[in-house]
Amino acid sequence: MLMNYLKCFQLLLFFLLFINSRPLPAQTLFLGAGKNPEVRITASDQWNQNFWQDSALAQSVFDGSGLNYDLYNASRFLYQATLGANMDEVKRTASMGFENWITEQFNLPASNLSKQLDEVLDEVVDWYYVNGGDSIDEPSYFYSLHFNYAWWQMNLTNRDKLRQRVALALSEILVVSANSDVGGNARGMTSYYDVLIRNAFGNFRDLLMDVSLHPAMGIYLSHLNNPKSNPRENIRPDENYAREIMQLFTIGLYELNPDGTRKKDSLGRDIPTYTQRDIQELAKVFTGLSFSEIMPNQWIDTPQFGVNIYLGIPTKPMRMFDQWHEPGPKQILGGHIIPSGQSGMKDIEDAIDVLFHHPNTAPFICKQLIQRLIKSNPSPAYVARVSSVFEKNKKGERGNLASVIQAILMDDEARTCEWLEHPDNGQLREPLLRYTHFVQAVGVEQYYGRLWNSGYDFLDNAGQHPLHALTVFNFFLPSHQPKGALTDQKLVGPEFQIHNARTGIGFLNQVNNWIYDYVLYSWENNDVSSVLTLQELDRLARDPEALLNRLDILLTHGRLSDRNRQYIKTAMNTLRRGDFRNDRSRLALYLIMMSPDYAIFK
Amino acid sequence: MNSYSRRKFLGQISCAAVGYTTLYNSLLNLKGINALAASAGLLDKDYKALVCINLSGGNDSFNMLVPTSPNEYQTYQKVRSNLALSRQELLNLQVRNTPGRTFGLHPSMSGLQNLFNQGKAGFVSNIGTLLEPTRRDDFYNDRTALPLGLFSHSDQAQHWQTGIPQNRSNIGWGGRMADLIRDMNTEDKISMNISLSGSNILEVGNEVIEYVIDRRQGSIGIRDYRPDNMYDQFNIAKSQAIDSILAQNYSDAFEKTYTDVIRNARDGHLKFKDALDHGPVIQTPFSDNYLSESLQMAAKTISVHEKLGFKRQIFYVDFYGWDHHDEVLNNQTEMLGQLSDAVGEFYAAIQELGLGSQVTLFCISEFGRSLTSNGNGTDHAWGGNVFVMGGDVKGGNIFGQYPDLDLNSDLNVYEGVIIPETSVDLYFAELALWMGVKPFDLPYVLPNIGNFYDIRSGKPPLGFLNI
Repeated sequence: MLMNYLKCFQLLLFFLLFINSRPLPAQTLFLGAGKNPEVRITASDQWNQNFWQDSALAQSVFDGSGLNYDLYNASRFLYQATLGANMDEVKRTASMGFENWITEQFNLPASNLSKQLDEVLDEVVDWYYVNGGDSIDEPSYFYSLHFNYAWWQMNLTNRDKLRQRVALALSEILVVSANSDVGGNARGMTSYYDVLIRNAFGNFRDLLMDVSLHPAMGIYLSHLNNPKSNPRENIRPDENYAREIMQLFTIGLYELNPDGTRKKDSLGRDIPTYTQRDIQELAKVFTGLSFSEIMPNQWIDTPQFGVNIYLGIPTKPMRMFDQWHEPGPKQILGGHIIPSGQSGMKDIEDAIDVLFHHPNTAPFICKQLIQRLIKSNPSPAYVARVSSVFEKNKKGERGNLASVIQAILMDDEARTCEWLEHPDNGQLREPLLRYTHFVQAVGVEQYYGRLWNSGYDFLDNAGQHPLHALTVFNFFLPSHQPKGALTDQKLVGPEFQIHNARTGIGFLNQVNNWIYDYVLYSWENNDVSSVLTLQELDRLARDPEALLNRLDILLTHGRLSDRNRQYIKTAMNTLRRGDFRNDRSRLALYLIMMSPDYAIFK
Repeated sequence: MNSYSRRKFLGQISCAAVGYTTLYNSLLNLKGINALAASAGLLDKDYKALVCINLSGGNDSFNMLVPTSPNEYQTYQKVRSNLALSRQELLNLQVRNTPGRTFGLHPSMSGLQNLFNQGKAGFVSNIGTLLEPTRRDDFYNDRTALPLGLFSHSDQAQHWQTGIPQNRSNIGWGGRMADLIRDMNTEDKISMNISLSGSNILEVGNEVIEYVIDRRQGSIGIRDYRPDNMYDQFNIAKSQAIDSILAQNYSDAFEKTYTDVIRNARDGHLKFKDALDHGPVIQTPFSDNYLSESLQMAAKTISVHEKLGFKRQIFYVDFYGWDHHDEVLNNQTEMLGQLSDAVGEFYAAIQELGLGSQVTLFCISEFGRSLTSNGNGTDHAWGGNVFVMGGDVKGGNIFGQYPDLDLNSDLNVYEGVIIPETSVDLYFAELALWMGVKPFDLPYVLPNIGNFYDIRSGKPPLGFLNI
């Protein structure tokens, strides 16, 4: 859309050159963004009201406010760097510049989801008493629902936007899901998510270690209470975490070049990174872990190996019980020998080191982060540039995620017009991000200051919600290739794996709910819900062009096509009389959210 | 050649002696049968459906089907140690084709037990992905080609759905089957491949893709689309704009992919919903869980196949959650129970519709699990056991070869992983032949079938269906 606009002005320039006898220097002259060299332009439709600021006036084009390039650009950047932004934030970011914005974000303190959960739970209990409940049945079972409430409350009120965007991306790589015993414990879930938040701008090795020792991961991938071998009983260590930490969290299945492409052997085949034996050996390393703290109870005073999930406290890192740890040396990844006689925790540290330093880890992780934030098909060169920052940032540090994120966001491939127009560029916006983006862009009324959302309806109908993937393979695979044009062009489209007849329409019906019923929904206090703040948009809607300009900045970052814009405008104009006037903004919102112009992020 | 013109083309062929490919021959034959059936009013007898239940995660199926003859049970008990089910709790199976060997079924599966003993269900044992027959020594010495990504969920799940374990393909054998036989159907807007569980690879072909519906609501429609109320200006305007936006050609690959799904969903829904709303009421009660509800919707869809214009349909349900590294005994007790009940309910519903011999339900699972325990669970393995159910199934039998569970057997690797002896190709080939694919067309559906089966032999691949 942006390029179309600029090309359009080039055409206009030549046209005017032709009809205007005065010669104009070609290369440095341009129209728009304040420049207006002795040219007068009129629009065929001057419908506007003088007393509204944003109207379709011809001169808006020339003073720059009509062209809106800076705002489109900032809005687009903010979609990559946050879960969504409103007009104020778009303007602020446009004026301060992206580098400064990122620096500001790096310096903000991290929000704490567990603290947010505490506040939510306090209120839940308060409302229980306000509604006449007694202390006998005071609510005490807090589960994924409450995690969801806290997640929305935090992400609609926080300042550390970039950090939370990264935390969400990490949650789709280092997956833990409520579709397991983890879902029954809200505190375990928020505590795990806090690990991702805390380490989002930290070091990847710390992140790996913290994730590996978190009880939620221990439950999810079953290395909590994983005992050493018992050969007499044919019992050997559980291989689940050992396999997935390699396959999904660090090195993947096949050897990679630094640019993310696969290495090939002399026969042109992929080269596996590990064997079944490697898994069995690494499985030995992840033995002996159990809860480090337990709830007060009538049976035992101190934590023991084997304590179950109802007694163990899921918010403190697991600890090692060496007598349950597999003794002996472990030969992992076909070469590295973890020597005998060490503590179990030292074994784990050594194994994490090996995985952290493996040459695959940089491209494997970096490519996925680019896919989450920027585009589904980054060029190998882009991946290589970011990988090299992971390998060694400016201070010589390996695995610094802040440096990696900055490299991803500020790379030419994420920022320039030329790359924006590249046919490989693009990404189906994740349903969840379409949701948060929409809410932030339009604004929402708080009910008692609350912005809780249960999210289950959205999860069911649109297929996605934080920490609710069906399996450890996230909602979609990085390599998913939907049939049709993308396969023909050898491109991947991970997010399409959850875009089908049911969820595609399901998402639209969710949008329908948002604009007409409620945009956030919670079950407490007689089904409290939040609605959109539409006053500003309703005001703009008297001039459909003005409203569409606003939404084109906020939602489509300038990419609303002329044709679809016309269809939406036509639709809006049919609602002219009486009560239907206010529905113009609702209609415009729905149609934009439904359009491919919005659904596909470029 | 699109669907319409191919049908028109075939309709003008007067005789088969004009040297067409086998593909067109089989389609011609089927069209001939159709015409006959139509005129004789035997439309319904021609209908067939496959229902696939994917036990994703990897079912520990050597605790689903257990050997109970003395020596074999002793081996089982020793190898599986604290995970071994006791002889008394296992349900008795009256197996017809394994003289000298007896077998039991997991205690939660009385529904399946009844179906088996009535001859409506059978097992295929020690089945898995293979490129060529493989034994232990071959495996350890790299003597045979092996499926890619053995023991990895994503890879093995993919191979069970593609039938091409030497590649990572995104086209499934069910999709390729549909490519071939969908001309038997008159409906061409709604896909013959229906999914109750979202996108999958199995149902995607070179032409066909799956149509995803909801297990409770059926197809999902745009809310308030084209309202009857002519004063509902909002929704009238909304619908018109939606239609205009969807009517365009999008050249961008991402935009096109996004829009095609929405457009197809819009188009399919109205017809689908109308058919479902006017379909027969199925009296058979179904349980209140994901799997039963999914099978219930499958049964409902099957009940209106005529109105929808289908002679052939494939259904896919993903009953997920079988990756029991932890608590395998407790988990299986619950989940195998749900599975058995749901299958029983489904069979009863299909009987109610009078389609007992025309629907075949089969399950798949990306791998079996290690015979040995990891404490209270099991890890990824390879060969496993699956079952099929339906009126046309030669039930009461165990097909394939139930393996020796001893850790020293020459099919046993890595302390408890069993190399399959029956390739999934044979399993799928039999289902394809039953659905009407001709033997000479099998390689299109299953490119590796020649490694395991002679398509000219005239014998069934495994023999569990009346072909």
